[in-house]
Amino acid sequence: MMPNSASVTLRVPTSLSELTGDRDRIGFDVSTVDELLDRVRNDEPLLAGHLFADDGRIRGYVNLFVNGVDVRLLEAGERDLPPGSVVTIVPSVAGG
Amino acid sequence: MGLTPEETLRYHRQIILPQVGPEGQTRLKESSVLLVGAGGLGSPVALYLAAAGVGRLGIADGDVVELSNLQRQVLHDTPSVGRSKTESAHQRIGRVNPDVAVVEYPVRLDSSNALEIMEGWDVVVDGSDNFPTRYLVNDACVLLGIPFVYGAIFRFEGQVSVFGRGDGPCYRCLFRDPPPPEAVPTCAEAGVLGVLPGLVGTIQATEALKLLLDKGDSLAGRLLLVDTLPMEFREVEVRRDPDCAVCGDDPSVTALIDYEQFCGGTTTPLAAAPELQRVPEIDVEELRSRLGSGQSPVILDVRETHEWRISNLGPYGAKLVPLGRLQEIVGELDPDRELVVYCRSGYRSAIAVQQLASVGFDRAINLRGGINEWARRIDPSLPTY
Ligand SMILES: [Zn+2]
Repeated sequence: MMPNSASVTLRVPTSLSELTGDRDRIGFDVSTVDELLDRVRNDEPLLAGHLFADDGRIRGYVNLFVNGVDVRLLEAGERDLPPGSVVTIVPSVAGG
Repeated sequence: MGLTPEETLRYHRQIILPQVGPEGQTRLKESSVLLVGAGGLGSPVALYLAAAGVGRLGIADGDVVELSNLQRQVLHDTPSVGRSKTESAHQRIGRVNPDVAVVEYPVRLDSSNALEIMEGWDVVVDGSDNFPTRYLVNDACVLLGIPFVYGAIFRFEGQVSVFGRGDGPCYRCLFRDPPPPEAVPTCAEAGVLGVLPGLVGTIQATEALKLLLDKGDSLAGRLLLVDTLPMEFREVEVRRDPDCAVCGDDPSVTALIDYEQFCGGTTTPLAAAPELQRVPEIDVEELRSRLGSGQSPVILDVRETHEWRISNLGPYGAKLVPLGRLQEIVGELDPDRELVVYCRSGYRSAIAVQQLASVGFDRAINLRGGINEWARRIDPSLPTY
């Protein structure tokens, strides 16, 4: 579970939880999307390796949704993360 | 084509819904749905659409029923083990509702047959179990203008949406690129909760019926995430991407492509061999004893950069050359020196060894089990993935 002080929750799907030591929710005390992404790069290098390409962009086979909206579609003015925000990683899965 | 008295009785509970009525039921009777995959997801979809009175069901699946399928593929039963899935599905649907016409396609969809098989259906339901087929279904549906109900599962989690409908997004708008091979394990490798495809498949069947009846708000433009461990249903917004390769404003994909190649990342001419021959191998113990013995081999890592960051043999001089770039640097390698090639688990590196052998590297050998085996047996401080 996330620490109490955390303002933003990152939701990690089971398919990627091996990269986070089996944590499916990680709390971050951050207030913007860019701060969050920096913290992920710093604190969760294995997960970051899966999420970001070498040029720093999010890979084409994974998505990050900020309160339900694709992070790629957020305009500059929309990159604040109000307390309680949920950022969801949506991975490519193919099972049927 | 109206409803017979028997049909009126069979579908009574559905006909009395004001959103269906005799008109809606007649509409279902005149409609057709193609199921891609008669596995975990296709099972509940086939059963419920047949029971609901959809007039024609197509089933495309090239597999046979295996005992290990029955834990989740409720369309098939124990006596069907060893029979083709389309035949087993056909027989079962016939017992559920003999009025449904079933068309069997006992083949795996590929670029050569997909348009012919998929053309003319009102709705397609994607219950396939691999990335090449998923991109193929998407592209074919967009090219043919057929909406399709997407569903995918992994372990305890599922995803559902409707793609290719009107101005809505497609699968490529959500996932521009397929993951590299080995980055995502299959259900066979990772396991799946048996009831999960039941949950996700019945949502797909619901969406298919809504599309056929033109009722309610479809999941087009929304991706529903189903997570069974906390038992949560969440949704995220999916928009059409104007730069999408197939449904964008200026599409680059205007005909079906080679999806195995698209998803395999093995696009260099060196990687043509479809079947992997046995290649020379070295065990991790053997490699360790050779390191620092004065006859250290050159070590080549053929994974991707992000995998290198997870674990690598850099301390022993390993050099990172992703498989797709092997051809470019092959001239820099010495064919007379022993060359040990590794990847995550030994599959990509076997391809690399085969490619190297074909251009004269007689001393290239594959590290059996890859870096994960090294991590397990030699250096437990390295993570496995
Ligand atoms: Zn698209």
